[in-house]
Amino acid sequence: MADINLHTEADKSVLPLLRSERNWGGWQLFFSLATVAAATWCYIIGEYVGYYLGLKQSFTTLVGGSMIGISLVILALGGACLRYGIDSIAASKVQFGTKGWMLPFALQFGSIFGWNCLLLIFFGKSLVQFLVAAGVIVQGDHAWLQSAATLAACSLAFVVLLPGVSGVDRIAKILVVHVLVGFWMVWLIVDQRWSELMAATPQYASTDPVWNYTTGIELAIAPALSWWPYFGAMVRNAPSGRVATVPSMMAFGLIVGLLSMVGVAGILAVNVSDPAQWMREIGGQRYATICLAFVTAANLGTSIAGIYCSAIGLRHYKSLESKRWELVLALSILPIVLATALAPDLVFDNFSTFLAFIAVAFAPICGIQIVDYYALRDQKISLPAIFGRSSGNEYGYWGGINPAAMMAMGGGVATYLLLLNPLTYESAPIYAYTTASLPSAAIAGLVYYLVTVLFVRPAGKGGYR
Amino acid sequence: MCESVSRVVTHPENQTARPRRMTAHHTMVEEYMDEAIDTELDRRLLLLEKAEHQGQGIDRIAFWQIVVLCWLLPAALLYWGA
Repeated sequence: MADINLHTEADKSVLPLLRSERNWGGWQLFFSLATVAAATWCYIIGEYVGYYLGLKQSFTTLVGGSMIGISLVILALGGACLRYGIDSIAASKVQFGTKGWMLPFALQFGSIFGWNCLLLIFFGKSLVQFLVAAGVIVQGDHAWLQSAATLAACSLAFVVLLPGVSGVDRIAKILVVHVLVGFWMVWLIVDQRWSELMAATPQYASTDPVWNYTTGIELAIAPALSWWPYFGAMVRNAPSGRVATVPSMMAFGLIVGLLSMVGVAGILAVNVSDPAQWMREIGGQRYATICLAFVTAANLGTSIAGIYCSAIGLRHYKSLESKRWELVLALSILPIVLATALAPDLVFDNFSTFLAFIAVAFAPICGIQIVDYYALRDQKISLPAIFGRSSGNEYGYWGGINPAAMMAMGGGVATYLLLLNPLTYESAPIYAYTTASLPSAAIAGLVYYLVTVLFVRPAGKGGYR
Repeated sequence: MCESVSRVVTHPENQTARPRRMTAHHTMVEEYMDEAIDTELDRRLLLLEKAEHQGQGIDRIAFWQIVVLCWLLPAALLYWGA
């Protein structure tokens, strides 16, 4: 009986999924990923790009940069996750080791925690705005209602995720409509404020147009890399790269880029990126109410997917492997609840720092995984070794940690920081021609390759042939 | 899931599923679950050695999809924007 239950509930565990269990088609995956992608973060990303670039260049950098960024994530994880039905953290054990995976996990948990704090706070804010727009409450200070709404959203996420990944799928089919509403908002503001948009001067634009353009690309690549934590747990439900690649690119790349234009247009035309605040002014009361309802719900959908992915990540801890799914879910949600209650504006007020953390963290990981999987392993990994079932303990390296991955991470992070200070945006002269994320990934990959070829492989570690 | 396992463990016919290393913090049900997960993991690893149970990673078609949609089109778009 236990075997049957485990078989049917593999999506609540880190067990690799069999081909027969991975039955999401292209559209189903697209709806789920689009729902994850389409949320208030798009508006904030757009806001930051709008500080440096005008409408046309924001459009090209956001769409182009997002597509380039997601290609790194797909190449880094797609091979292993789509072939063996494993999540992002399991895939990282190959490079980081049977204990070193805790580093990618910490980054995953931090990233999802940050995004969820941001989105659920926006959920609360949007709900208050929606209730004001709908005439249910009057304008004023509704901090208590905002906090209560955020906590209610956490509870709702818990309930929706009780059945496992099917909860994400079900809610995605409803909330994917938000994507269309987002496009409608872009059309509305562009249509009504065209002259202001064309005349707008980006607030923090440098005198160097090349630097501005590159910064726009960098600001699009960095959030795209933050799909790394979500990617494995979601796409492992699809059977192949052919099914998963285009929906992933369209949802995480194209749709994020296009929806970010809501934020760009908002910051350029009315100096506010959040449509929850400008919709009444632009579209009138009725449109504002409709939009706010969808914006509010969209944040919930994204948070639900994030909580699911971090819960799957938590399962990698041996002590949580056999615990009840409800407990693991609660552990994923608890930090968000605490942050919401104790420091509600923690991430909101430090968004640029948070964005910097993501770019600095995930660009090197992508570089390491791409080089390892394609250049060093010829796309072959040992699944038993990932799960500690191999007599050779190939991914045990030294004490469970691969020094090549740690050195490569260090090299990648250092490269990023040398090129761009993500907090002050002071940069090296070459940054204007290279971005910071792409060289960071490249250097991390190069360091990993050299250390592996010179030291790890000759030592007989890592299962390299 | 745990409820059903609990029933299995406490049933007299299933006393062979008795835990081997129970501690104060590790309940009988959890111990049984650990073993069940281990067994299920072994079963899956065995199946996944065969190609028919595996998915397909990034093959040539998927790779070219990435090249065209994520590199060539963005490059053209960025060139146009610049």
